[in-house]
Amino acid sequence: MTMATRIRTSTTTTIIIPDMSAPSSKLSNLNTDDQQKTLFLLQIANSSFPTGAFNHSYGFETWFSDGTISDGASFEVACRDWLIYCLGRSEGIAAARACEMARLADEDGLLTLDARIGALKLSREAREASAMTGQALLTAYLDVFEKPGMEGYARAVNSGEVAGHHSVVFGAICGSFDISATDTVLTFAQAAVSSLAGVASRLIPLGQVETQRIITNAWPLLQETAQRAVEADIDDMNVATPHLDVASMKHEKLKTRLCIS
Amino acid sequence: MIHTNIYPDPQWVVGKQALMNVRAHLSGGKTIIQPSAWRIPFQWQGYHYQDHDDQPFMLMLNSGGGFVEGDGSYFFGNVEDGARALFTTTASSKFYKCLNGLESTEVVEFNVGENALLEFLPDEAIPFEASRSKRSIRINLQLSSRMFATDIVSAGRVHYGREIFKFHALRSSFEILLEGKSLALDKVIVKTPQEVQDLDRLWNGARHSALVFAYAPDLTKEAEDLVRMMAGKTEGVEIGVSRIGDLLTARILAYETWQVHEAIFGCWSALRPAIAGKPARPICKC
Repeated sequence: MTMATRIRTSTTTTIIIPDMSAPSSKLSNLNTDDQQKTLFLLQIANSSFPTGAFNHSYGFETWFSDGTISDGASFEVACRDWLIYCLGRSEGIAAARACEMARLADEDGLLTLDARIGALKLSREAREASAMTGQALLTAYLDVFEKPGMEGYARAVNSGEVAGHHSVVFGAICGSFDISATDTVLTFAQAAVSSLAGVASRLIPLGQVETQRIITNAWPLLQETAQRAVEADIDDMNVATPHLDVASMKHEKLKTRLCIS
Repeated sequence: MIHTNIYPDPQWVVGKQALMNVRAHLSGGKTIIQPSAWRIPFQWQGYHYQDHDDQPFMLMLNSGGGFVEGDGSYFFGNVEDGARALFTTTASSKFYKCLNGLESTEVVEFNVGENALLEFLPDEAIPFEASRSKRSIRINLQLSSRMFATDIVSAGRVHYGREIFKFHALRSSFEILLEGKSLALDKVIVKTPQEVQDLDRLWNGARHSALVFAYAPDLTKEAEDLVRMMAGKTEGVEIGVSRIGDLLTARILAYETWQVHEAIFGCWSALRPAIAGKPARPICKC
């Protein structure tokens, strides 16, 4: 009989995780190569990997500060909007395209993509945060992993020709590790949601369990985001969150700030 | 790439695709505007000097109404080195219903030369119920150019039977390029009923979303604060102001049309002395 684990993610949603180990709990579903890719993704998306991403609220701190977001419910709505209408359709697509470009060694494409994602970030803090975390990720990646590829893009970032935006660097290094675009976006978006939820749990009354439930609730959305991103083109990149733009711009003048952006 | 001179596509249907090419250039100590090519329904209507100085004001749109399904308008302006020109519209751009799945297209492109000034203050774009609009504004600057440009998108005919976020699709982009490289891009694509409805929440209940881009190589450090102060005077308006290098961006969300226009005028009042060397003044359109 197949066992299943039920996770109550909210009062209305239940995710059922099938028991994949039914035939033999000692066998992995992944081959050795896939295990290495999984380990790589877990490592670069982990908050201990030195990118500084966990210090950014993407403008949400303004909403925490002015009471627009005051609890788990209001955070979850705003977080899902951000995932669908900002992150997924801009950085999600950028990460997917960067992954494919790195696989094809399309260095010029990476430069164009980097400039485009930067242009879409209208507030100074949002643009700087993306470049800051991207540059840190690139530096750490090059220090830790000895993988050939994307030397031209890395040189362009180091020389200041392009900013080295987080989503593009993330996608490019995943591509150079032969990870699929779907898994790249899934990991990138999950890490971003997880990081933002972590920020929220520090700034509003949000318990650890509720925080994790919000992240788990986002699973279907993350999968949908990844699917859409890999099917989209660079010209599809857009951002439909003007109220978040205002919040991000106002964050520059916030008197008490715990986050960089 | 921004084009400087476009000619009618032979495939265009007469009356469905409007075209206007103009060049603004110095002549006898002032800027004059000349049409180099146009096609109906755009008509060359001339221009005037509203500030009583060297800078012409030009009204861009034809007076015949809005965009029906499949319509397209293409405006290309070349503000040559040292010239100064202001472009505005006669009224809002209205996008009517598109029931056969086609889009209505509005394209505006400007090239701004060395030491040239472009002021672009169009009225709002109003996507009606069941409309499918595709809008694009692109402005290419040189390092020494100066610019104040705005874009306003409304939720619909707000005071007409509460026709709010009832359009079918909207693609809208507003891009500033510096020497051909993208400096800032405000782009939104919504194409499903759910996405359109969600704009109500994403705009925080506002009925008008506006963006101001201002560029000058010598904007002062105080420019942002001045914009916040002047534009923030309008009640009921949310405004965010940010500056990246020499480009200042202001995002405005407002409930009423007059509020968004007043907030934009606040931004213009704060910046025009630095950008154009003269105070802002209400634009007279008749």
